[in-house]
Amino acid sequence: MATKPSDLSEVDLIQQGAEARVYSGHFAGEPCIIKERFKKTYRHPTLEERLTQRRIQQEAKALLRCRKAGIAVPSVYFIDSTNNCIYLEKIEPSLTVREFIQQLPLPYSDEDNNKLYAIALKIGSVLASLHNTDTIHGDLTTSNMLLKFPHDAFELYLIDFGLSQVSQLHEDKGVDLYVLEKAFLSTHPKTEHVFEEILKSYQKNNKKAVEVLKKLDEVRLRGRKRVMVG
Amino acid sequence: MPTVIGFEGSANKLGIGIIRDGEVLANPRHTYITPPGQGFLPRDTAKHHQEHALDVLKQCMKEANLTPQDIDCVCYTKGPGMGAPLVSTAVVARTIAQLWGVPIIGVNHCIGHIEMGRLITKAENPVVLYVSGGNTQVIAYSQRRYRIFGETIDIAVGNCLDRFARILKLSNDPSPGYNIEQAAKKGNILIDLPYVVKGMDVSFSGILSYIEDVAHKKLKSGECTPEDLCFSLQETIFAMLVEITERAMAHCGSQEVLIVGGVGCNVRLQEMMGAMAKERNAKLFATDMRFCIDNGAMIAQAGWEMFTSGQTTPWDETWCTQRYRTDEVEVTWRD
Amino acid sequence: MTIYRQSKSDMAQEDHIKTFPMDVFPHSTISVAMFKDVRKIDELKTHIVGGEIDAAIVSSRMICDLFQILVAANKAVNAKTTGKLKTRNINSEVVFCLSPSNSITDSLKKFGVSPEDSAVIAVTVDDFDGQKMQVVLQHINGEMVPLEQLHRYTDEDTVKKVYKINDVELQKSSLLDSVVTRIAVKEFAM
Repeated sequence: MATKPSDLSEVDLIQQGAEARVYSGHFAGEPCIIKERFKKTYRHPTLEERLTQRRIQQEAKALLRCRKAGIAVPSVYFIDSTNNCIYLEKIEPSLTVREFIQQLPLPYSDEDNNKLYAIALKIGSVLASLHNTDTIHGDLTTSNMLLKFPHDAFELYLIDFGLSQVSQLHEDKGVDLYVLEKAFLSTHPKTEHVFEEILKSYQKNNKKAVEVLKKLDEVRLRGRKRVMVG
Repeated sequence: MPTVIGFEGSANKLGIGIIRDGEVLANPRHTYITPPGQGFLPRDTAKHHQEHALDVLKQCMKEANLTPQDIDCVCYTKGPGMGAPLVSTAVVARTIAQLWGVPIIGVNHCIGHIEMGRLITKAENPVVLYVSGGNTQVIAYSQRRYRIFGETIDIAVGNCLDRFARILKLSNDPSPGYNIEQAAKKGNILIDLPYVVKGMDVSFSGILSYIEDVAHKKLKSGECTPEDLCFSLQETIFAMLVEITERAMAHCGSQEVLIVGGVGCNVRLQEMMGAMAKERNAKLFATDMRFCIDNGAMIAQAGWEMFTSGQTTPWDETWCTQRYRTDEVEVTWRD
Repeated sequence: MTIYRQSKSDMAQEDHIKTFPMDVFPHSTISVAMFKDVRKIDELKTHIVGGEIDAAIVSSRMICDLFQILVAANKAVNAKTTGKLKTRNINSEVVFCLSPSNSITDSLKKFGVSPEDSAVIAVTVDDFDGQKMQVVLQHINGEMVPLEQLHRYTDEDTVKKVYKINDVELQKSSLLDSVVTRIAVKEFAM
């Protein structure tokens, strides 16, 4: 069976998350990223197996769906089900949107804001395309968006589709945006204006945006509606 | 050395407790238990609290061996919770505070759980999983707020368990969750249930409606037993909770996790959280049923922190509110 | 990394066989060679079916890059080592993995050789002493050409059609990326 990334030579561990280890390596001459999902011992073994297989499957499906729809995502080179690894195209040179924003010191200058607005415009339109294909990312954060800079233009890649699903429901799309909003605002303080631009751009590019944004409002209120009782 | 009394009645437990400088002097509680298959309604619950308030109060003072002169401050649950029960408890608290001539403090129920958990376990700065019939939140302290990192986007996990217990007509004594836990121990088959994690949040309405549907079919066909269903439900929803807690820990770089709230009594949940913590070289903190389950002392403890850091509630603000976000409170007693 | 191997038979003929080690299967290799002006394909097919040729012989029309072959071959080797071959042997598995279809018959038909082909690519797995490729050379009636010329024989329109790749996709994706992703995710994206 296929060798585990940790046993391969010329492979570097670049990130250890809660769910997976990410390595940098090569596949048939191409630089690649290897995402290895590791076993969670707290889960019942049957659940663990089901969940891991399902997430690999969801990720694979979503990466192809996005590609078909013209959304920038890494290519897939190999899915190693035995070791729960997925070998993906390495997008380089690239920065996560999170790294990009965190590089900019507060308070944001006009020039910085222009850069942020440009990225927001792109994020909004990419998410609109995503939702137009009825694909729900499920874990939108600024760490799951890559910026690739060929010359002055930039391309926005989406990654990490393990929690993705297919759904036509406005509710699910609204929740998808809600997850991003929470992640965005908690990771990057004072960026409400940037998130607003994302939503505006989303609305411009998605016909059903009005319905989706209504659901977003509903989800936002769920915990927050204040009912005063004597 | 202020001595503080706390009144809790936001759901079906009526608790009155006394704290002095981190010591629990008394913590009696009376629970409104409905027949199997029935949940508790606001009006009946409020009635229960009214009926038992004075008895529990007398018991409390007796256990602590104190008189009204010994009390420096009265605290009550301002919210969140069910409207009528909250108010019926608040009325007693307000009356006592005025009778005894002491200040009154409205306390956030969730913060009561957190502060009690911190006191009992001595956890320094944990990521907190707060799970009960009415709440499911992953909380971490940052810059004078208990920030909510993850939560349920629909119903609370305890609510999901309670409603499922009703479908199976399990007894509500001592609590539906406890009886599901016991039944689950005898379960073997892990049924494939919807597992819904969205970013840092979870959703339980899907799994509840699915299992409500499936329960009838599978039990009828003999495909599985009620014990199998309880087992499957627990394994799935607890795994979801552990997952979002782990994400928060990874995000905050935290090495401590504390479980509070009624569902925190569940040993299986503690086991799973413990396994996750161990893998990360982190430490799990949990309290026992005296403090996991809603009680008066936790309100007193949070109130004590507020009182000693200079906060009291003006009389015209001593109302109750069904929705009261954990992050709305300014945590003046921590830096 | 490429290792150029000298053919044992005719030293006068230039050797264009490339052998690649496999990143994920360090003890395995994939060897590839391409031939043009191939005649008597029916005879060739008989030898393949007869088991005399231990190689996958694919239609060059369907191949747009060497990388495509390596991705498919990797998948085939993985199937073999995990005991999950869907076809009879490693060679038919390579052909099956190249195809976006789950039908073995359809895969062999579209990606295997047929009399309409004039250029073919031979793929051998674990051909450590080069013998497998030698057998191929003995049976193929055609001229071996450098693999760098592979793109000359690609029928892009057919590739797009068979892999169902439309123009919207090609605005952002290269043909190769679209093909390779489909190969890699085939059984997961059903």
